[in-house]
Amino acid sequence: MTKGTAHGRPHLFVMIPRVARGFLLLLLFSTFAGAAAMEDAVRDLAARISARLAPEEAAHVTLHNLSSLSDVEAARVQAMIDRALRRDLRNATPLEIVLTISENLKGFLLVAEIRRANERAVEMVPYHPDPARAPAPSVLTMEKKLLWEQAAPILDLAVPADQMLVLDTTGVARYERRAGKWERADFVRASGTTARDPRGRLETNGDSLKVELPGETCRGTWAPALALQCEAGGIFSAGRNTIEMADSPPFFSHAQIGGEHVFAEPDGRIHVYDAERKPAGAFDDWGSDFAPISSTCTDAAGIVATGPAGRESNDSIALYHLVNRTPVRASDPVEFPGPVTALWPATNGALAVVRNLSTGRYEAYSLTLDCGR
Amino acid sequence: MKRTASRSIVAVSVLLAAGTLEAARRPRYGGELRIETRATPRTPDPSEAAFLSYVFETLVRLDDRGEPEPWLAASWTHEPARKRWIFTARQNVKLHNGALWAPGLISVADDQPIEKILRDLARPRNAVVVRAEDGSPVGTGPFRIARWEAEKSATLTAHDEYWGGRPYLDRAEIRMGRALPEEALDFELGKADVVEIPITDLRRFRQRGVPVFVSPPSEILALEFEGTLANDAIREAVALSIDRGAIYNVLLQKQGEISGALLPLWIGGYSFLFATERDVSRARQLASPPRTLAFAYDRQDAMMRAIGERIAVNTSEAGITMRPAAGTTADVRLERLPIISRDPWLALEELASLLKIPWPSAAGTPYDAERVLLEGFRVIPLFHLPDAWALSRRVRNWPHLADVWLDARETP
Repeated sequence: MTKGTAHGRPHLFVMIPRVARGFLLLLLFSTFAGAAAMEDAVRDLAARISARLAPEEAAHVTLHNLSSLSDVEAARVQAMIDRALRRDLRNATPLEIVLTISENLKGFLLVAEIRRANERAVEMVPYHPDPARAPAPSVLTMEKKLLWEQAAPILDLAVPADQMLVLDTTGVARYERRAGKWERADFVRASGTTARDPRGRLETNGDSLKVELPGETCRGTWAPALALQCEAGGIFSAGRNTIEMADSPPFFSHAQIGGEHVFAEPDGRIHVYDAERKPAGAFDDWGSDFAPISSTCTDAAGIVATGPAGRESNDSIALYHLVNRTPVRASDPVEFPGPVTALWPATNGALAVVRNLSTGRYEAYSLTLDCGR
Repeated sequence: MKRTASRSIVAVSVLLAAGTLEAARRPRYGGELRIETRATPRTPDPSEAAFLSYVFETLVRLDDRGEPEPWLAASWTHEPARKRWIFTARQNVKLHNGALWAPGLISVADDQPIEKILRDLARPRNAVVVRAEDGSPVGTGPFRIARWEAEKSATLTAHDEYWGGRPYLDRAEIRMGRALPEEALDFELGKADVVEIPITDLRRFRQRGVPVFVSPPSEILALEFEGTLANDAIREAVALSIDRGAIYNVLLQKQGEISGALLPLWIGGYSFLFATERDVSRARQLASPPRTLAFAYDRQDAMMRAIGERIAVNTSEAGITMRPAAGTTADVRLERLPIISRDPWLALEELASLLKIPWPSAAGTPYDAERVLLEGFRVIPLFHLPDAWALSRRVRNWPHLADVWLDARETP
């Protein structure tokens, strides 16, 4: 029995007659697969071109780059194909090959046009580029540390004692550290309804666990085993992305600094209220996510807030102080490889979740103020 | 032309993976989006208008790269003994009438490769449409149809129990059958949030600071021959006589791309392999003795009219007179043909169907299929053009209607 799921593709050849497999293999290779690295793709293309060369012919390759590949990388492709097609022939007949590096939705495409007087043959080989390299670490006064990464959107994460709890859109997982690696030890599905901009909060107190999801609250334990009972209600609005609490309008984020309250509200602005909850100002400099942060080594407590980058581009987080109800940046921004999708206060710091734009995976980082600077 | 207009609105949201940049601010729920379009769908049939993909969903959907992915079907299993593929329905999917969607066993004969089956299931015409007791169509998508006035307007409202999360908008009001000047006027008067704009007006809108969204090329401008008056040689002569470069630089203001292929570069990756060069002397040889062809194009569309007139001038240099067609019959038509899928096979099959060209079932690659489809010059691709919209400042995340939200910091 062959099965296709959201996480795996079906095996294709189970019921396909043997005679059709060659055709389908060619079709798949040409259009759907194309997972070869550049070196493999060049080697494959060179073999296909060589098969079309007469014994006395020597390929002369001209390169066109219509893709987003850099000139340096394109030159590398040319050098590789030249090397692969090199022949030591006396009185060779030159054969013109136009090699075009093209690009479509699925990746890059190496296209060779083999031109003779009254004939033109075309060979194509697709390939996917190597994954982007991680950006170099920044020099910062606030430090980030990657705690965990996974495919499903992480909503919150906690590290009580020597264990790790991860709340994502499917439920809560408990991980134990074994031989220096986190290994999943337990999982409980949370019955939260789906939200288009999912949010969730995870709080531990001793062995007890509380999970807030849109429209419901789940209570239970995380040790010795995960167990949760959910009921309707809670701080997150059902099916929405806002938090609703008594005596405040719906909001995305909240922090209390001194006697002042700061809210990110659905109107897109950051509102400041005084101790009596009267409006005291508003500004636009932050995104919707921020969190209060404190440190044992400094009294530089403040608010860490996301930057103005788009949610489809790399984001940053910086430390701010409120001076006369106006934000003043107090640290260099910490850069991330994608948009920040969650930012929560944590013990001695904050927790940031980022959707890595290169990998598409979600990464949870701890943020701490650097005591050494 | 009908087959173009009916697909224009939000069609590119089906083609695109990512839309405009979101603000770092979290999306706000609520509000009404006012859209205007030339499209005139008569019925809420998923294959009539692309925005209906937000009402009626398919078992399988094409992902960002044009690969099939589970949608209303969560998984599929092959049962060799029964020679069928069994599709498992996604759980907890609510229909727009509040009922649970429980289709029971969904099975498909395994007489074709699974990739082909999945591509077919992703076609809009294969969307899941449940008939209510009164016969009205009920879907599962993020929006439900609250009102439908054929060819004039429609109201879509948020499906609160949508399995993928309620959309941000409360409502989308869509006015259909609007002429481009009417759309532009309503936009200027603040009566519409999203309107289609001619690509030739892009520069003007941008210079005024109006947010615009331009898709990757999503339609083909092509000549299509009918009847037998124009033989192979005449058709090739027409293809060789057209000065695509001048039309692109002047009339299209360098929007889109010159092409001799059916699929644009971003989908196929090989369009440059099809010739676009002009060769008037060769065209003259092929067109001898001189011929006259009845030529039809949409005279109400300023861009089409200008291009049609330029093509007639070009072909006359090769000895082919293109006189305006009288009535509905013509020897050659200037057409705008939609590209309805990111998947090259699906897109080509639809184009072949529109053009009534037999599908080359033996083709091993999309490139091979195109070569066969374009043999004999029955159709001559000229340009691949993007769609363009002007957006009011409060619109975020266009063109993905389910993810569009209205920024309260901007006034309507």
